[in-house]
Amino acid sequence: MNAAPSASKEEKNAMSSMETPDAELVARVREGDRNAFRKLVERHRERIYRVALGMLRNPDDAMDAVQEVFIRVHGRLTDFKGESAFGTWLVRVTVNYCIDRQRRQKTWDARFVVDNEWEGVSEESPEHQLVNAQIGEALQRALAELGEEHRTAIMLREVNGLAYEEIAEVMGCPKGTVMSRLHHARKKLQVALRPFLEEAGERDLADRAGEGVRRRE
Amino acid sequence: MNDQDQEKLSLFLDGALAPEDAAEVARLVATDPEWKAAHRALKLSGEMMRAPVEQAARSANFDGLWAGIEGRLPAPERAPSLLERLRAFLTPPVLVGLAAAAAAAAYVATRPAPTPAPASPSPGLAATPRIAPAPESALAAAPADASEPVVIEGIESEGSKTVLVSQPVEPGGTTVIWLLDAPDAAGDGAAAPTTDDDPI
Repeated sequence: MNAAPSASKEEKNAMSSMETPDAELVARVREGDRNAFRKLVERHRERIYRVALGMLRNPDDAMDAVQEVFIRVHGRLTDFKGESAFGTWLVRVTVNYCIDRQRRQKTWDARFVVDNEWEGVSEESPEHQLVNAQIGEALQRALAELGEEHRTAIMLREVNGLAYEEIAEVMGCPKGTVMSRLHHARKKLQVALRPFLEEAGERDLADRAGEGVRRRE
Repeated sequence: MNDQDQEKLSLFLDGALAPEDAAEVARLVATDPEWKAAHRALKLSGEMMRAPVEQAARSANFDGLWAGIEGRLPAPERAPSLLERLRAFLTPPVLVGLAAAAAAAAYVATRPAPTPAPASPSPGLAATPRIAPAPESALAAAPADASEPVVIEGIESEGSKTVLVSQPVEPGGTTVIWLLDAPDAAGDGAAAPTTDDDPI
């Protein structure tokens, strides 16, 4: 299974030999060591921010969520039995918090996708940018139409790179259910994007043909 | 592409297919336009979901995060000071108990000296009013190691004759003084303690 962008095995080994394990820090926090909790926050904050950002689509809301999640986690450390990795439990708390927040907002706001995603490809021609913006809007609609569970599964997989097993643990369902949800979500997204991609595909072919003509000239 | 093909493509993207199946899907994606378009759509949708998150995450500023979290954590537990421990100890029931103990101690300290009954009182003696203890000089006459009651003197009070008995418990220590009615004064010959059952 494709791994999320992460440290290599050697880097992880080096890190693990240098860093205090999460479980040890958790034990210290339970004894009242606030500095140990700070270490946990600093270690996991970026991952939690990405999870929250993927679900809430707003950087300010995501930062707010990170703070709320860590405060909740501090108060619930007695609930953490150590049956799963601390990081996975943390993601689970984050996902539940974000789902609660989304439910309070009633609708899933995906504007973030449209507002930001093409900033990194501004070197493309205005025509390409327009097509990409249209694709972004189509994706936004498709994601908004997905059910909460399907959207959460695809976000955790595509944005956060979680493995099937991790998603299953986070969402509290069997691995097979995760695979089914991902398949369902992808099918919907593919249907939504296909018209734009077919058009873009034809244009790509035409561009390549033009390059071939120019090269021959 | 049927639904099964779609699912296979989804697993292919996640790297969850067996090597043989993955090779077959890779061949289809390279050669079949429908597979190619579906593959492209899924890859692009993934990239479009990731791109804004990656971009925002790169510019995220976590500087004030810990301060915000720490400010809302419950205050750390510390060992209570002596004053706090004392306050916690002195709850109303404890105060009532202490007051009762103090009152009892004050009573014991200030009450008149008891006049206990003798170890083997004479059967004919009865209780009499309390009187002043025997003078030191009279006590000095008693043997230091006396084990038997020593009659110091007989006195009359309110028409009844009383015998004052002194019994040193140990040399130079406490002296127990008994006031007993003389047998001829009680009349009925019954022995009775003075005012206290327990000599001090």
